Amino acid sequence: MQYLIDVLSQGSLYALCALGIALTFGVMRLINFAHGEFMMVGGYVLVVAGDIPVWAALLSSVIIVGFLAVATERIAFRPVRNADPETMLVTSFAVSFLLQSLAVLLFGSLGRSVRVFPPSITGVMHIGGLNIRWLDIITVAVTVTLLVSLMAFMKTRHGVELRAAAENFTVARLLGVKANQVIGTAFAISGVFAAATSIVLAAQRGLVEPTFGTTTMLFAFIAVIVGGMGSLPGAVLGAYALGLISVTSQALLPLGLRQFRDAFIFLVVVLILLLRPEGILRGHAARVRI
Amino acid sequence: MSLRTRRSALTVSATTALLLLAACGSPGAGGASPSGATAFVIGYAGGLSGMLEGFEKPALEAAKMAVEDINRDGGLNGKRVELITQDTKSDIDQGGPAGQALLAKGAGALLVTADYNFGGGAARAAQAAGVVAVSVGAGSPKFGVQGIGPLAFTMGTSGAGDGALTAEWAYEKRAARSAYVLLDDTTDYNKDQCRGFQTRWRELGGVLAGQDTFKNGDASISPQITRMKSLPKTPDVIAFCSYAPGGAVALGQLRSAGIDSLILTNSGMDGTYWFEKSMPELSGVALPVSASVWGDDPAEEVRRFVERYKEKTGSQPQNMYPVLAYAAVQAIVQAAKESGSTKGADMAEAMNKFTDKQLLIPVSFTKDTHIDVRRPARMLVLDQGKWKTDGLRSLKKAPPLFAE
Amino acid sequence: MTAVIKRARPSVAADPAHWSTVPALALLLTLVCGVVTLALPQYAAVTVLALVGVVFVVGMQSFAGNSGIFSFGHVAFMAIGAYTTAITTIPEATKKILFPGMPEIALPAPLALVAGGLLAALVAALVGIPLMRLNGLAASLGTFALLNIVYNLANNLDAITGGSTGVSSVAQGLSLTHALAWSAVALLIVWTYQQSGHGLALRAAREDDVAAQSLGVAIARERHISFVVSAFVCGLSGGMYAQASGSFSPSSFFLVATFGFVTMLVVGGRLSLTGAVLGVLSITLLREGLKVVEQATQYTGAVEIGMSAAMLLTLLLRPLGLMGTAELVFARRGESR
Repeated sequence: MQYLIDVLSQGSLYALCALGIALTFGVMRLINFAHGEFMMVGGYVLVVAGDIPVWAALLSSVIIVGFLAVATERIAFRPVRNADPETMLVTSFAVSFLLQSLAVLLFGSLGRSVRVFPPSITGVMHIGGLNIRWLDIITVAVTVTLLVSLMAFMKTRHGVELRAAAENFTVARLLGVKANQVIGTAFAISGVFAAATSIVLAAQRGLVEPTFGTTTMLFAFIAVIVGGMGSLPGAVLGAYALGLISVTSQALLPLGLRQFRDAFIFLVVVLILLLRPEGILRGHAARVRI
Repeated sequence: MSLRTRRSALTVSATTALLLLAACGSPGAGGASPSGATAFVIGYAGGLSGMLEGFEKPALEAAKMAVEDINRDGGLNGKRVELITQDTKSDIDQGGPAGQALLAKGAGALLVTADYNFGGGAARAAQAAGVVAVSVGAGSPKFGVQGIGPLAFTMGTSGAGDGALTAEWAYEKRAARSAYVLLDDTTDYNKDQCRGFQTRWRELGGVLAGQDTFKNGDASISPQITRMKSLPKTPDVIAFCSYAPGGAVALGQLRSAGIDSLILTNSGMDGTYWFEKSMPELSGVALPVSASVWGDDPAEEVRRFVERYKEKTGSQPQNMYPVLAYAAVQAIVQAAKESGSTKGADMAEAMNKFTDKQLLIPVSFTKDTHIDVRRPARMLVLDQGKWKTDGLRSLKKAPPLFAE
Repeated sequence: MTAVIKRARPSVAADPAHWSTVPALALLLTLVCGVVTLALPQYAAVTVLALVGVVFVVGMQSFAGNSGIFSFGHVAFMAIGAYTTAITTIPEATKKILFPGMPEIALPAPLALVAGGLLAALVAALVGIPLMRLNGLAASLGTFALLNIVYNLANNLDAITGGSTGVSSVAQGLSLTHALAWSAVALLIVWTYQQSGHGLALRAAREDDVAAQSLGVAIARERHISFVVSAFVCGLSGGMYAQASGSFSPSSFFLVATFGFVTMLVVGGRLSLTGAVLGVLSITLLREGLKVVEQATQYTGAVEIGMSAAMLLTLLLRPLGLMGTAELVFARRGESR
């Protein structure tokens, strides 16, 4: 039962990150490795914000990362928009490498500690023999709130355009969807999700360093692909599945094998892929064309 | 030939031309090489940029101070000592070439990164050239005769020794009896620390309440915490074998889950940067170091050095590496003085005879052991967000340096 | 006779590499080595590592370029090659002290490289059975899983691999000439595969899987063959790396290496053998050049920022990489015009 809470918390973190990745993947087939660095920038915004009120720090993080995501799209990704996924992928490597190097130059490689929420909400609650961290509740709540907002947004005109573009970009353009606008929107939302992830992650880690976002971003990618390429519900499902896999392998493996945990996690990932080669929820990107 | 073909042809010829141009145009090794006749050159091969810069730049500053001091006191047998640097960009593959570049510029000894893997490349280049290499603080007993060669030394201490020392300290001074072992299995140093702790803990008669592992990259260790919380009784101490950043994350999560056991860790968790904002009142973390940079080191020279370092750089050192780097330069110069030679083999022989050699900190080596196993450690204990030194301690019984 | 660029027909690349591509590239590499030996001896070690990179990226290209599937797992084959070479060439006496758990097998250096390649190929043959049935991104993720599994095992099977500290005391015997010779071998293997019916079939499937399938191409099987060939070459490069650097650890073969090599391949041109070679050379050259600039100007960060900017600019101007689908060939004056 306690482990279930761990799964929910870890899965929600992955889901937040995975949604941001899945959004841009959906509209332009971009595997955006710089998403982890968007998160890192969000983390450093919280570090720099220091003692200003929590809401102001959170807001500035969201605004700055959202702006950064849109700017990156405009400068780096738009020129290669029609290129192969491989070219876009390496473009995102370059962006990610650049942002990380800048972080080392500006803040040093040691990392900075950060307190996001006041101490009163970093403790533990004991409910019926369970230990629930406030942070777990915040993580799940943020994820659910953003997910619901995203679903609501998808019903608006912009949202419909975004979904249409994700479904079939060419046809959507023929039907009058403006490519720049819809991709810009996707990046802005993706930036907001990156900022949200960075807030939760910074609260959970208490430390921001240049490689802050890397591991979480890699796991979120796996979630996106396992869940169903480019499908938003798939990304969420994949994220919780991955949370379940990593928590259970940590909990169930005997001590002698526990150091091989990551090998087990990836073995399970491969097994899922073999059973569902197109993801748990089959994404449109995987559909066979004839 | 289509237009595109021509462009490709252009690219290739341009690239080839550039290659040749760069090949011919780039300067020999960059910068004038100091003449070996009037100066003794020490080369520093380290990650002056990239992920290691937080450790290496302060170490370099300290090495510069050591060189200044030595020159002020007359240098090395009348020769000036000079320090030249080569950035490895915190890239393992750049270690070897960086070492070679320094040797090509006439370096008569090398200082290398405080890590077996990152510092090993340059040290091997030195070994091949018959030049002594001293790691600022690698914690692997392989850094020396076994893993690199008879000319490689490290100023660091071993993981097994550090772990054993915390076991003795906790058992004797803190009357701890039950321990939990939490191992971040990302590095061998961590594994050695936990192994050393366990060996000594059992010998002392302490109880092992349980053990678990995690990885430095883990964003959350909640499953490990859940397992620990299911114990009937909270252990007195946790042997916590990890390092920042991952170690800082895990330690914070232990505390916020309400686990208040005394945490026994290593110098990879020294510093205030990782908790000062997130847990300003943090207490109950203890670790052995070769020198305290927090103003209360038992040795006056160390306290004075730290003050001077702060004055010169305007910043508080975050770990002992500046002290070790300063002592490393002293060790090199001392070895050259004592052997009356600047040949690597002669200097190494002199260093093999160091027994509690009073440099900025005491340094001991033997013919086979090029990592210090005698140096008394300072136990640093974190109390209300401040590191305090809990006296000097020497290991009563050393565990084996290498795992069986 | 002059070296010129030959561009394959844009659709199905029936004959992407001319007979003279391998000699032309070998000549280019020899020229580079010649220049380094004569004028820049201090860059010898960097050049040897670059040639190791050439072998690896050429090996990776033979899979990625022909199948169209991007692999994040080939560095795992490099690791297998490196550990095999280490285990079979570290002298018994050293092994007893440093790595008591290592199997007692001894091979001469060149054979050790081949053994590393073969073992990597064997692993590829086994894991390829399930993985090569996957398509596109799922296959890429599969290879990424392989990378993580091999890394995790190498880091924690301490007795055999030496744990995170890795392996040292491998005889450093890879001279520039040796590295050059092995690069030529790698180019020849990959070129031969490309020219074979298997290579052609796989490229056909890359361009149009449905059409290729209807013509009787067993895609999974062809991919599998390509995977094994490329694993062999990458395994070779791992052995070379071990002999060039003398020491390595699991983290030598993980994310940094993977992203670095993928970048080299894409910047050079993933659809071209010449692109693979040029990608490694140009990125190495750029990095070393920027390092000289950084050392001279004392402007820290010049290398990192310069590299990212150059990579972005290259892909912006040439989305298919420097070479696109073109290859370097010899041609009599006028032949290809």
